[in-house]
Amino acid sequence: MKYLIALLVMGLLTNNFVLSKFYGICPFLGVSKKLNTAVGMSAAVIFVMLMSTAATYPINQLLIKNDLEYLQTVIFILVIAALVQMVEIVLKKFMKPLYNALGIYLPLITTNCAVLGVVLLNVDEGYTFVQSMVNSLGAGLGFMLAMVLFAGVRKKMENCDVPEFLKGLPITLVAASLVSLSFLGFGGIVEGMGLI
Amino acid sequence: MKKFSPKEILMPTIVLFVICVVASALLGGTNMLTEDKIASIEAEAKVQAMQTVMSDAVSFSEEAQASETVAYCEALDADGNVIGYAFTVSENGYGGEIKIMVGVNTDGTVRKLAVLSADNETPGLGLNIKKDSFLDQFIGKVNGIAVNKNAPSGNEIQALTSATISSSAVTRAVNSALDCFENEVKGGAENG
Amino acid sequence: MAEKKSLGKEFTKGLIKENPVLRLVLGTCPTLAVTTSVTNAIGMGVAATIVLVCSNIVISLLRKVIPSKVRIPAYIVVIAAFVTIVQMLVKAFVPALDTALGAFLPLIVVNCIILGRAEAFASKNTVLYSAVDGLGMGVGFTAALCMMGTVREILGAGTFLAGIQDLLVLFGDNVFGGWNGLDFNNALSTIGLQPITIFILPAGGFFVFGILMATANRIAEGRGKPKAELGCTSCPMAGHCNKNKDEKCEGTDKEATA
Repeated sequence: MKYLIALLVMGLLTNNFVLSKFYGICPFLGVSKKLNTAVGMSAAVIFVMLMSTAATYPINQLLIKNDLEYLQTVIFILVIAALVQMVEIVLKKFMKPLYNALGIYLPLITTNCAVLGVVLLNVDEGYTFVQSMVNSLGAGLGFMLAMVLFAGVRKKMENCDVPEFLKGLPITLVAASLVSLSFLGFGGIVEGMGLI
Repeated sequence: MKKFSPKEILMPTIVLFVICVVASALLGGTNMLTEDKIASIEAEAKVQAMQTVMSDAVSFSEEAQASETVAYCEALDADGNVIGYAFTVSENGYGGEIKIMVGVNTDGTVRKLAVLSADNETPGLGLNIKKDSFLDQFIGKVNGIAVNKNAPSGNEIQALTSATISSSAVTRAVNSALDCFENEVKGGAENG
Repeated sequence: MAEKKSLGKEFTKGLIKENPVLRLVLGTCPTLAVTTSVTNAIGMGVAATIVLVCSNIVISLLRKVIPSKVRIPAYIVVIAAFVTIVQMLVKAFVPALDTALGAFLPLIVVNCIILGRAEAFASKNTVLYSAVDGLGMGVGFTAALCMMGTVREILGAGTFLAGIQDLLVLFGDNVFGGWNGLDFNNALSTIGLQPITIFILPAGGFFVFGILMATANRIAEGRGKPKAELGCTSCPMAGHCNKNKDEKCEGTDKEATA
């Protein structure tokens, strides 16, 4: 149990998927301009991460059993792509409000490296099913935290007088650098809580 | 929705299927070609690490799994006498698993360390555990090594700046190797 | 589209005018993650270039066979297959690079540059042009990574091209007399200085990328080109944004509505 909490806290803060592991930078920079889109995108990512972790775990067991580990990448990305499509169709049919909220982000998630990244990480680290799910949840929540915080930073930045040559993407990246720096400060938490 | 002709449904399926089959076949082929090479490289890296931590040894015994995280093998000299042990220990670091090899002398002191893998440590901080200046601090230490951030003395080692978690992970790994040495290896030898 | 252009132009456009990292803002994840050293940057760049050229060739060959309905999954399978092949070869012949790049080697699959070029170029052009386009984009990607890596490694670790022998094992042992990069640490410490570690930390990655981006924008502006921005043009899934085909691609910076 302690280990699971550690996994969650680590995914959320110390090993934040976006700010310290550099997964999913494209949506982090592209979709973080407004708070509501940031939340929508992160919710879709958490959803797909959990679904694909649950789906790829048994598949991976099968692959290992048959000595076909080298097919992991191909199969995982296909599973994720198929899953995203299926989720889209199901949501459209049965959960219209949720679809309206998340739908537009779903096609973008297939190429979000955070999803494939977390699935591959779970396999690499040899996590059990429960650990994999918790790790994915932590990674997803970490993604959301980074997105939401950064949306706030960018909101503030709109009213700032930015030097001409940094306007646009460069100042966004410099701001991301500062947010990332602040996350460095969480390093002691895991140790302080005696989690590992 | 428009009506689909069978061709419109079948064609994409067949094409996709054929692509998948060809791709899997190619991968299978490459795997057959590289499998042995990859396995031999991994084995070689391990042997090399063993030779680093027990440089006097001529050969090593089969590796025995002492617990879930600790494995060890005996280092033998030319006459087949045991001159020390090489422990392989995994421990949780800052970003995931750290695997290190600990060379232990027959008197229970640390001979030398080597980092086998620390893939998820931060470059510039945690990854500095690979540096000799950090690893060599452990030489000659005995079980119960402690981490000190400022002025280490006695059986203590100096933690890396801003990488206390990685430093203590290595220390824990060394201590569990020494634990294993005292409880299993030495104890086992006395009993047997 | 580009049939009449010269091959040379197809190649050089990837280097400067349409540099995938600095102009199209693609592949930001590996750009930030693996550029802690120049050696890693070169390794990543070369691996991605190989995948890019191969997948461009195959997709261009198959462009008339693949029905447009399943083209994205088909492209993904082709790309994933090549990535796995490259990964196995790297594991077998350059094992140190596999350790250094970690998860970012298999993640070439979702590198937007590769899917983006497949969708935007290889699916519409002949094999030769697609191959050259892939090569140009790959070299442009590698060059941008190396720029990032050089700044970060020199400032952050006080070394340059450290561990380059790990890559050179491909050409035999001890190429260039076993030269393994430069190390300024000793020279620095004699004058009481230390490398600025922050530059190889994640925060430094964002910062260097931002400054590099600003410089590239400045140069582009001088030539009357627009600034680089994230948007639909750089998004490989733009064609799949089925809800907003006619409107602006939502969920990106170009989004107009609240």
